Amino acid sequence: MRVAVIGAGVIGLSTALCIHEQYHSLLPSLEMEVYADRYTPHTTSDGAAGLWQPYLSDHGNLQETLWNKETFDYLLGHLGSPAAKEMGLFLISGYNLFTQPVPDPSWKNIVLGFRNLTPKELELFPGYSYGWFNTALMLECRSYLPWLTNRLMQRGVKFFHKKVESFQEVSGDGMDVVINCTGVRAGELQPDPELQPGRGQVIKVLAPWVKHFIITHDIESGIYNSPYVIPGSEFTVLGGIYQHGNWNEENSAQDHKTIWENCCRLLPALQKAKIVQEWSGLRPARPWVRLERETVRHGHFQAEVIHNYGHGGFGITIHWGCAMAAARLFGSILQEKKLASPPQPRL
Amino acid sequence: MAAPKVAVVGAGVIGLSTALCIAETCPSCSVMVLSDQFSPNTTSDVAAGMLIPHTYPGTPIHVQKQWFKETFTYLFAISNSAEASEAGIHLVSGWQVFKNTPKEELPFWSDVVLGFRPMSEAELQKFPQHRFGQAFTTLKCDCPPYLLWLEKRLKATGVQMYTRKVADLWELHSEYNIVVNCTGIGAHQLVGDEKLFPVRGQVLKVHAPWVKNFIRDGDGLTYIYPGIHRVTLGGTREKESWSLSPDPGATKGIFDRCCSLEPSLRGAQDIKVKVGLRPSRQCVRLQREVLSQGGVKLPVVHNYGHGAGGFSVHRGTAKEAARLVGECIAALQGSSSRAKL
Repeated sequence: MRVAVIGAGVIGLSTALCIHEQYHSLLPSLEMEVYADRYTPHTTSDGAAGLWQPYLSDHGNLQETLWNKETFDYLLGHLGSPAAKEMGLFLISGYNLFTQPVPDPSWKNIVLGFRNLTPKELELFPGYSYGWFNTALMLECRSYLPWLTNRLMQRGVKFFHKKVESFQEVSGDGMDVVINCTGVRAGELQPDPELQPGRGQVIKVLAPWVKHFIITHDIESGIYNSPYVIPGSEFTVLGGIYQHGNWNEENSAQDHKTIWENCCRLLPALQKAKIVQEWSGLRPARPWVRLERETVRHGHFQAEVIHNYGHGGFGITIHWGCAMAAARLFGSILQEKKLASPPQPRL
Repeated sequence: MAAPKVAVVGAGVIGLSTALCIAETCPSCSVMVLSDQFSPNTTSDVAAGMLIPHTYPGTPIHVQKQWFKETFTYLFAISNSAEASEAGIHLVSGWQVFKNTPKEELPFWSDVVLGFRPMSEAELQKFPQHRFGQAFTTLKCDCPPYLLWLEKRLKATGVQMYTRKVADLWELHSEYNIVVNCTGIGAHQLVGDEKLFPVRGQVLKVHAPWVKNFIRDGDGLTYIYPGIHRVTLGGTREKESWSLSPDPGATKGIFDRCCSLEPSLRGAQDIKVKVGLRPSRQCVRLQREVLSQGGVKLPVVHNYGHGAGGFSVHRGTAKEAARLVGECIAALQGSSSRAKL
């Protein structure tokens, strides 16, 4: 059984690991290969600050809320383990700020200690009259992706630096299953008008006195178009750009100005922060995540494809729940091919 | 009296903040700070500088609360300004956890810090050995930055600082009109205060920048306080120990206890060991005294004995000390006008 995973961002690598962990013992003949044109630190995932936080509303998509919860619980369980530091995983508390009262989010009971802000806390943020405080998780991909890569290499998974131009290319090589984790460029493998880039730009600074994340929201401008400050283990990420449909991966001077001025207004001490790096990336935006099976035929080649892309600005937040869902789809493929029964739940 | 000359002895957080308050409330005063040690070699430099009050058995609670509130409000404004990073003041959130439910579930300062509330069940799961906890957000004063910032503010208001070992407060009587004694543990020898005793504290300052929340065991012995560049791991409370030498056994004990609260600390790097002697007393000695010898008088204002709670109340006690200095000046002016009659 040969499996090709296309894409080596957080989705590709975690899906690969999840499937390999669950099925390799049942299927010793399982051979897995990862194909990607970009590896860490050059993936979209690497640019993300790494904060676990879904969008404000799940638009009724309860499945995604469940995947978010599964991811949070999975990561929380790893917090106390020796691997946490190597994974780039740690707890962080912080603020979500609004200019008017808003309903509680779908994830209020997933995070720790969710509560509304007190009037005194709101004094810290002039211009904002309502907000939340909670403790969530950070998962820094510049550590997590190498950690996933190491786990996969230890398991004998092979990596290829290659831009895959078509499903046929890998299925023609004798691949039985293709896992499509190509993120924002999935449309190049198969047109998908629902998938659009959500361009973001961030400034990475040295501001080690900042210990909380601060995410502001402007209901008019939409998600991530309002300043945010997210402190990492080494750098603090300043952001607040979301441009739907913009494919430009070059840094924009105008966006730099917007981010810098807005974040310094939010936290005046940032004026003294040293700028270390600027980065732009394309969130793989879609009305909902595409996570489904498809039989792709071309001539007399046929492959089972599992799509797992379109995670927008919440890829890290949802990744493990999606990886497990993709693994279940993989299990159903194996069942159909009568290769193995799915793993029994561990008691 | 044209320009009263005030000597502040001691340059830890108490000495420097007191000197600043005096300069602020008495612009005509000529203030000088004298100390044998300056940052980074003061007791304050060893402390984490967390605003979590220590309770003084000998001081009314409403007074302690007033001191804490004044300090918190003062630092809150700085943390919110462009100077925050230079001053070393930053907000930090976290948890105080208890193995046994404390008799006092609501400490007197719970409405001064931000967002104080009991921890949820889900939060407590991270601390399997603890049954109860409190979550809140408070401020931290990182030293040396805070002390260096105070020194900068002092210089800007014309206050001079001198390295000088004062062996006896009386030696200052010919140069100064008023002496303010902020010598911390040094007061034991300087003024022979037998009620002042050291409580030795050993801490580890480590590189663990992924630790963003504080964790404190309610017993006060084990704590993890993330600062700007280092995380302070503590600690010990050894009454009557005067030793400033690091104790390797204590280092291991502190490290193990902290890792038990926060396992990721096993990956901490570049561990530095520091020791400080908390200048402990039943209550802070915040009072006037007049020294006299051969008809010559020297008014003294004492401001020492803050023990484990120096940072938490420093601005409040500094303001009170400045007020007492004002009283001394009024008394001197009263007696000098009487002398003119």
